[in-house]
Amino acid sequence: MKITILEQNGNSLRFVLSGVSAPFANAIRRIIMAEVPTMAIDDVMMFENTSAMFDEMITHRLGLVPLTTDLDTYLLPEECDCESEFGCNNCRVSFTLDVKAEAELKMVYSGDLIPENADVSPAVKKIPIVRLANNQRLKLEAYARLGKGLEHAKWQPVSASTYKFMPIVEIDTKKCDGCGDCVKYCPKNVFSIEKLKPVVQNEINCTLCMECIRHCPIEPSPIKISHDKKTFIFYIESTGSMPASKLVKEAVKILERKTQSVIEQYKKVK
Amino acid sequence: MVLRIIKKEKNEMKIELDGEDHTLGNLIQHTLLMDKDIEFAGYDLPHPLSRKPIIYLRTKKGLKVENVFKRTLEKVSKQANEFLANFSKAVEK
Ligand SMILES: [Zn+2]
Repeated sequence: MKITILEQNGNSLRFVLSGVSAPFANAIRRIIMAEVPTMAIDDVMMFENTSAMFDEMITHRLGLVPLTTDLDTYLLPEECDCESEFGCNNCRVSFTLDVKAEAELKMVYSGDLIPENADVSPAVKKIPIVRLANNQRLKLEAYARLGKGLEHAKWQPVSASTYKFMPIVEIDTKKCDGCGDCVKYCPKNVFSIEKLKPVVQNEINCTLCMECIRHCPIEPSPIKISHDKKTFIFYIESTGSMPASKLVKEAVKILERKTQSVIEQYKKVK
Repeated sequence: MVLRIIKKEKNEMKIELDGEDHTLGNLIQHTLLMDKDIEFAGYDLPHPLSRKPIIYLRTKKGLKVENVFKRTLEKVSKQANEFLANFSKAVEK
């Protein structure tokens, strides 16, 4: 098994994983999307809402605001000892919001949510929630808790968690007449011309669309496209709740915990 | 997660993993098929709304089924640990 990081900036991460089966790569992809816990607002106490929007709509919008998550301090409510419906300091974080438009129109942004713990705060401060006309007011208290993506999309820590097979593009230069159509038609700029013949310059960008072969005047085409079934190019884009690399680590730890619990239970029932 | 053994015979077994889904089901099926003692392995999710995949495995004639399942899960766990170690190393670089 070999892992190489291609790109890591801000919330996104691209890496190559080779020497594993597709079910293993897929398990990691699925766990990142559905089973890595994140914070999201789940309960809202509305004190005053004179805005044009219904309470329910505002609550829904608040729920979808991505929050930075600290997995070491907080517990999932189902794993917390408090067993309280309302939660305790170990399983919930409260936010307050109080915005009033005076003489002019005023937009309420996600950044107006004031957290009790600064470690859990809106990942993006400029998400519009509702626009207030003069003298309208929005005052509320919101409670966030950890949850999983399989329960509701607001607990999904990623906006993208994907992989593709590693493409393999080959050109038989002896048969190629160098017309350059493949360079022109490739949407991902995989080819370039060198000494009047096309060469593969960006193999990793190929999406296996086969456009180059379709436009090649020679039949059968000297271009051969295939993929490596044991090498995957992952692309993970976090919503801002956690760095993408942390999400991958958490996902593998969850997979490991799952298999251990199956082993333990199997020993018991056997 | 709750594990139940639905069927057990000399060389075949049916195991239900209550609370799991394709994530683990497909991975276990694939790893079982890679085992040299396995004649057949498969998994099924009887209903998409109930998260209860059923894993079926059958070993080749004369071979006992008991240890194959455990061995398979240990392989998965080993692979996960290897991934975590390699990934941490790659990220720190
Ligand atoms: Zn609690």
